Amino acid sequence: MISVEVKNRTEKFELDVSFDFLTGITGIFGRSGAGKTTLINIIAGILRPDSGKIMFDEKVIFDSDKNVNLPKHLRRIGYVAQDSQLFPHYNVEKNLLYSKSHGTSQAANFKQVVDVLGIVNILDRRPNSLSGGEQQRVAIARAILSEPDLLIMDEPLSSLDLQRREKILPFIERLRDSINMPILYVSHDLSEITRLADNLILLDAGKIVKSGTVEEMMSNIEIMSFFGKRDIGSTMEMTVTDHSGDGLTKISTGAFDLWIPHSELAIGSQIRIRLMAHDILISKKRPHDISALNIIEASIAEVREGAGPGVIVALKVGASKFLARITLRSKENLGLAVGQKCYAIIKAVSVAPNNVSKV
Amino acid sequence: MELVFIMDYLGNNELHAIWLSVKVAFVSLIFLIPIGLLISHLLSRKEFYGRSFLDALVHLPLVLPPVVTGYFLLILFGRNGPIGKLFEYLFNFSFAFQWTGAVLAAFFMSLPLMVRSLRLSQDLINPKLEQVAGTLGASPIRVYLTITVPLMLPGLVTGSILSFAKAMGEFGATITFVSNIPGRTQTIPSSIYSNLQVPGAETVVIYLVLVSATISIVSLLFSDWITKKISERIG
Repeated sequence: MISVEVKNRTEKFELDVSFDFLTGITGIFGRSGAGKTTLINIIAGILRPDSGKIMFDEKVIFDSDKNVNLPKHLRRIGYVAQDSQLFPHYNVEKNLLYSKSHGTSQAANFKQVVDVLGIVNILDRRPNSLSGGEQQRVAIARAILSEPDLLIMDEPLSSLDLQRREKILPFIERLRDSINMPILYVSHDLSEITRLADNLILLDAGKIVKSGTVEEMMSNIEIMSFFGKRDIGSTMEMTVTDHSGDGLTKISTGAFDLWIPHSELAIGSQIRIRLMAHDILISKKRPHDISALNIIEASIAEVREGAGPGVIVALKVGASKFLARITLRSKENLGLAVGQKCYAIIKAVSVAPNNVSKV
Repeated sequence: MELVFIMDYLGNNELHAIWLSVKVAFVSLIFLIPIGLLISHLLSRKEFYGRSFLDALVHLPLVLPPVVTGYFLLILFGRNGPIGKLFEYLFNFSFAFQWTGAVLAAFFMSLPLMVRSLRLSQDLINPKLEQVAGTLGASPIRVYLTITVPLMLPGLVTGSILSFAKAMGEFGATITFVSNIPGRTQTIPSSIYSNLQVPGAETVVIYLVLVSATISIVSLLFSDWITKKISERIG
C-alpha cells in the first residue's frame, strides 16, 4: 500500500492531501490549477513539501518529522510525462535500458514489456523519427523497465490527437492487466480515467473533494459540478451475455440488460461502459413503437437542479445507479420526483466504442 | 616543398612564436573546458548569492579593453601580485614573463566566449529530461555525464573553437601581462607586430599572416564538420 499525506504552501496555492492506494490504476482528476502536478512532483521527489509523510508499504520515502527525504533517483518511481522526454541522443533501445546500467535487451521482462507496448520493431530508431504515439509508448516502457514501486503517468495522452489516443489506450489497458504495480494516472480527461482507472481521486484547489471507486464516483450526483456538463456519465461494469447476428452485443448487470454496438469481447467477459447522461431519455410510461432498443424500468433516487436549464436525475435499478441529464422543463412537465417509477430509454448506438472497454 | 620554402623565410623566433601560439591555445583549452562547464552549470542551474556577480566577472574581459585585462592580470598574478605571490610560495611557480602567463591571459580572454556557448546550450536542455533520468534511478552525477554533457556538445564545440581562435589571436592582454620576449613569450600576433617595426621584414609578416589564417580556417572547418556529426547523432 502507498500512503501519501502532504502539506505544501506557496504564495498562491495550498496543497493539503491525504490518501492511500493499492495496485491497479488510481486516477487523479482535477481542473488545471487543482494541484495535480504539484502533488505528482512531491511524490516523485522533484518538489519538497513543507510537511507530511509518504510511505511505500514499510519504506519511508519522505517524513518531515524524522527529516527523511529520499532523493528522486532512490525512490523507485517511474514517471511518464505529458511529452515523452525521450533522450534524443540515444536510440529507443538505449532509452529503454537507461535505468539499468548493465542491462541487456535479453532480459525476460524487457521482451515482455516491449511486446505489450508494441515497440519491438522500432528498437533501433532515434526518438525524433518516431510518431507521438510511438514516443509515448517508449516512454511508458522505459519507466516500467526501471522496475519502479509506483508508476506515475502525468497526462500521458494529452499531447496526442484523438485518433492516436484511441490507439494507445488498449496498450495501457494491457499493461494494467499484465503488471502488478500501482499506477497513479493524472488526467483532466474523464473518458480516459473512467476507462482505465479502478479508483478515482477528485482534487480541487489543493484538497481532495472525494475519492472512491470509479463506479461510485461517476454516479455520485454530489460531485457532478466538478465535471463538465457534457462529461457527466455513469460508469458501469457489466458482463457480455450475447452477440446477435445483426451486429449487436448484449451486456448485463444482473439487474438489467443493455444492447450495445458489437464488441469483440467473448461471452462471459467483464466489460466497462460509460453511459453519457445526456444520451438517456426518461419516460413515465413504457414507450412502444420506438426505435431505441433499451428500455429499462428504474426508480428515481435523486434529482439535482443546477443553475442552468438542465437537471441531473439519478436512476436506480436494483443495486446499479446511473445518471440522466434532462431539461428542467421536462422534469416539470413530467412531474418527476424522488421515489417515482420511470423508464430510462437508451439508444444502443449512443454507446460509443471509446466508452466501452475491457475490465 | 612549400613548407621548406616558408621555413627559409621564418627565423627561429618566428617558428617559436607559431609553436607557442598553438601550445597556448591548446593548454588554455584544457583548463577552459572543465572550468567553463562548472561555471556554466552554476549560472544555468543553481541559485546562489553572488550569481550575478560571478556572471559579470566572467564576462568582464569581453567588455574591457584587452590591455586593461592584461593590467589586472599583472596586478593580481604578477611577481608582486597577491595571487602571483601565493603561487610562487606554494608551488614555486610563476606566471610573470613566462609562457604560462600567456596561457593565463588566453584563458581569461576566452572564458566569456566558452561560458556563453556552454550556457546557451545548457539553458536549452529541458530540465524535465534530467528529472526523468533521475526517476529512472540515475544519480545527479550520472545524469550530468550521460544526459546534460552529451546534449551540450554543440555548445562545447562552438565554445572550444571560439576560445581556440581567441587564444591564437590574443594580443593586448598577453603583451601587457607577459610582454613580447622573442623565443619566450612572443606569440604569432606579437611577432607580426614586432616584424612590422623592422624595415624589410614584410615577407616574414606575410608568411606569419598566412600561417595564422591557415590554422584558423582549418580549425573552423574542423568545427563545422564535427558539429554536423554531432547534430546527426543528437537529432
